[in-house]
Amino acid sequence: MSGIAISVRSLGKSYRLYAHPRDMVLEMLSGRQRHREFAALQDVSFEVGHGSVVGLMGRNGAGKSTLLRIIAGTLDATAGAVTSSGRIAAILELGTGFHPDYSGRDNVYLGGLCLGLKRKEIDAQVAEVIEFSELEEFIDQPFRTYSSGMQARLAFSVATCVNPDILISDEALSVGDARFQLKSFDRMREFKRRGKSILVVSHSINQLVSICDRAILLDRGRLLMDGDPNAVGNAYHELLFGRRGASAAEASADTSTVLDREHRYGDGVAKITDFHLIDAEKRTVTRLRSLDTYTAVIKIRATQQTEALCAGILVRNGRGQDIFGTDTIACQDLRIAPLAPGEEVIVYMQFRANMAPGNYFLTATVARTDGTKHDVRFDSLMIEVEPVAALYTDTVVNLEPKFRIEQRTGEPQATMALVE
Amino acid sequence: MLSTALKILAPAPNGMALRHFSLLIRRHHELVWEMTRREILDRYTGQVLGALWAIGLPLLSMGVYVFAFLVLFQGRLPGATTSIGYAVFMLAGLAPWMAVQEALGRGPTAVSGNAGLVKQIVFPNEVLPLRVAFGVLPTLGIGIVVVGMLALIAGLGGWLTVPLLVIVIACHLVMTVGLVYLLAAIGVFVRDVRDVVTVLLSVGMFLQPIFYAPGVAPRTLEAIFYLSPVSYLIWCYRDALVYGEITRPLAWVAAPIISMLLFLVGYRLYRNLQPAFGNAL
Repeated sequence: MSGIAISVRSLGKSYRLYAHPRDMVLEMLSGRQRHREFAALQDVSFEVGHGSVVGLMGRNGAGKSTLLRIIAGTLDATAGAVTSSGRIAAILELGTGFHPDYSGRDNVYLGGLCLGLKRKEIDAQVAEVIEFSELEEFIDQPFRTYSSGMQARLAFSVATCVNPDILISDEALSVGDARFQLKSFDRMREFKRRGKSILVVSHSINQLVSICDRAILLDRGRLLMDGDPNAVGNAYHELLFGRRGASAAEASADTSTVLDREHRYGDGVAKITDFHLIDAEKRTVTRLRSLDTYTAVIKIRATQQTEALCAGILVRNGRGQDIFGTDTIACQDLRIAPLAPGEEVIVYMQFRANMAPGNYFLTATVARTDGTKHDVRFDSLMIEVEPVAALYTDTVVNLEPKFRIEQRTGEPQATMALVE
Repeated sequence: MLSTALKILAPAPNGMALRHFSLLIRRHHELVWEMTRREILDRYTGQVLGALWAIGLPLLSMGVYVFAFLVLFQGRLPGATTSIGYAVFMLAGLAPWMAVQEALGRGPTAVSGNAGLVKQIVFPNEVLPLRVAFGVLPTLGIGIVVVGMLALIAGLGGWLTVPLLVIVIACHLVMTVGLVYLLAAIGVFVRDVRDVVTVLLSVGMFLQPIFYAPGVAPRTLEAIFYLSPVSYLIWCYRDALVYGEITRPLAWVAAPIISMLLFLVGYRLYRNLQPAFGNAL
């Protein structure tokens, strides 16, 4: 099947914000404007073909959910148009469509009826839905007793078992456990094979890159980028953590996530004024390719006369485990000569990114040789290592594996020789 | 004023609304049925007597009114020696009123109380008001059965009772559905409607021809009766259950017309406001 499943044309959505509910009524009666307009989406256009999986990326409040809701039809657009062909099943906010007091089984029925199935059709499928959700044991318990992961599993099972032509999923995959996520991926791929379209939101770039054919990046209600998932993933990462690009105001807003997380301490005799990574072409980067060579740049400025100094770097993974740490002295017995007030020095550390895909937090320190800390910028920089198809997902390091297979063709003599 | 009236009565949009509604019922009758069933059963889940309350509650409140108006106020129909005639007369008005009261009381929250469903699921939310409207069927059914039995005992009613009853129940349901659509749609945007309706319903009870034996109500009140659409239903119910014949032809003409109008106005308003629900929930 080819053709267009979803077509979004210069879509816009603005909300009227009223300071108080009564303002709405007063406005209707008096005709005088009493609201503020807030544009959640502006001039968004794209198309989704049959049999394609499109990922939506964007920061919180970028308009992803609004867009999905408009496509799904639970929200109206204020400008532009959306056309879609076929039955849409949407998992918009997990489990909220389900009734908390009904059992899982009742919710399967009610959910199916809501999605337009006949009771008989559901009868035929209920066993499969329950089996896929792996909730056989709990299916007759009230839905509210389920954990959020279990609720997500049931919602996903129902939405995908009704055989929709278009599946819309808002972060549905992030809740289930790793095993169920794999299962969901398989199901999505199967969907794709059957020519169905999938539109999915996720905050995990890795996840999107691994299942999507195409990705769309939204920011502040506008479509920033539409194309190859890897490229869009890079742009998204840049948007989140990057120090370049966009306007200065935006950049400072972007890095707030990092700065919020950064924990800075020290006596301030010398300060780390800048800390970032550059690649071989001297471009600042936050998204790395496993096994490429990069250089960490630490700029230090003294505020008073200092003694000899030492600079260090610590790398922690997303779970907060230290995976690498060293400093100029420990590594190469390198000391920074004492600095006069206002004097600046730049320390470079070249390294190969032998990390597995994932997020990492970098810490930079400057200290006296006896260990007195002048400035520690803990978790100051977040970087992401791009997915590598060759590695398993839970891998921590990249050992640069090289396999070699040596075929031994029936040589009983060799064994004999060993025995002798 | 005139243009508004024309807009409401224009045949094209009304025809569209009817067609859309019949399509909705045809396609989703199972969902409507399931939701109505749930609505009735769920109201009392977690209570010891469970769904028995669905039967017990209307019986109980009818009992209270019978006690108050028959025993305490000694209500009688003019010229009657026993009070059973008045009991049938009063209950024939009270039973449908209770059903109206229940539906309208829940109407404003029919949609706004299900924000999760409306926002998150792609489904025809037109079924939500229907479930509230049809959820009063047990109350109405029990009321009519009780009144019918009392009428039988009192020797009231006649051969026309059953066909007339069928017509008036149909009107009643159509009107209820329309009013619930109306309230549900407004209730999404103006939450105050719920409280306004509660007040109107408790006052309204005495502004309907329920407790007043013929000739008892003051003139002005009689005039007010004509302003309430429910009055026409009550008169029709009374014709069917008490008199067994048409004593108020006006009511029989007005009830179907008013019901249909209210349904169309309610459903069309609902359909017009429906796309904006997502913004307000």
